[in-house]
Amino acid sequence: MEVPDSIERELILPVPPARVWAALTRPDQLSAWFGTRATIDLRPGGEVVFTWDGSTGPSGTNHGVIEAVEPPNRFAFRWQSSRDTAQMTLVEFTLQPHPEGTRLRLVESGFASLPPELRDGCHESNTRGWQRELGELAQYLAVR
Amino acid sequence: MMREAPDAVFTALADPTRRRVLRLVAERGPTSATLLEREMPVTRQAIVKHLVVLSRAGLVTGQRTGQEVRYGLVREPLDEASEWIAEVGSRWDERLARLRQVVLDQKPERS
Repeated sequence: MEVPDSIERELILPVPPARVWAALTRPDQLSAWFGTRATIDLRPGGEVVFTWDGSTGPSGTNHGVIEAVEPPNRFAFRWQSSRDTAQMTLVEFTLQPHPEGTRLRLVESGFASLPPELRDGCHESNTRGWQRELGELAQYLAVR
Repeated sequence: MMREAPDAVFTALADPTRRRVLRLVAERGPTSATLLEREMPVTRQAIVKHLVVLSRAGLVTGQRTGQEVRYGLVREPLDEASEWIAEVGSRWDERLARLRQVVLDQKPERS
């Protein structure tokens, strides 16, 4: 019954990192796989906007802020993971050369972080241990 | 469509004192703010506030017996939070499968 604080995926893509980088950061290519139309201001602090056209559910936009642009190794942005949550999460792509092409790692983290209006330095440092603690709680409950 | 995100659960769990209260409730079974006060370095008033937040998030439920309210753990919201994150994960699985297709379909760029 553990509630994870992050989603982690890893895959090997049979193309060089530069091509994966383009697929992640070029608006036309990003739009092709992300499931929404995407525009992107590719610089730290820049904006990434995902637009749902309404064909697969309600239409709308989701604005994210780019955290890291380190071609062709790391690309990260902060966003609302889905339109029905107020939580801001961090999406991080890490690219590494691999004998077969590129090792791509995705981590989306921060599901249990405080909502922005409650966030301050003091609280933020305290929230990091929650996953471990909750894991312990889950363990405790599992053996009951 | 995705179900509503368990934001209240995430927010409730983001506070360390509240996690401690929840943990004690889980360990002790239905318990009162007065009993919890003996085990925690905070006032009864503060514990009551935390119990109210946990209760709003659906993580505990209070039952009045005589003069006091006893709070018990409700597991379902924690399970739902896990399921919600699993759904967000499956969206990534779909996207990454499409990403693979996109990079395979691309013509290599020539310079």
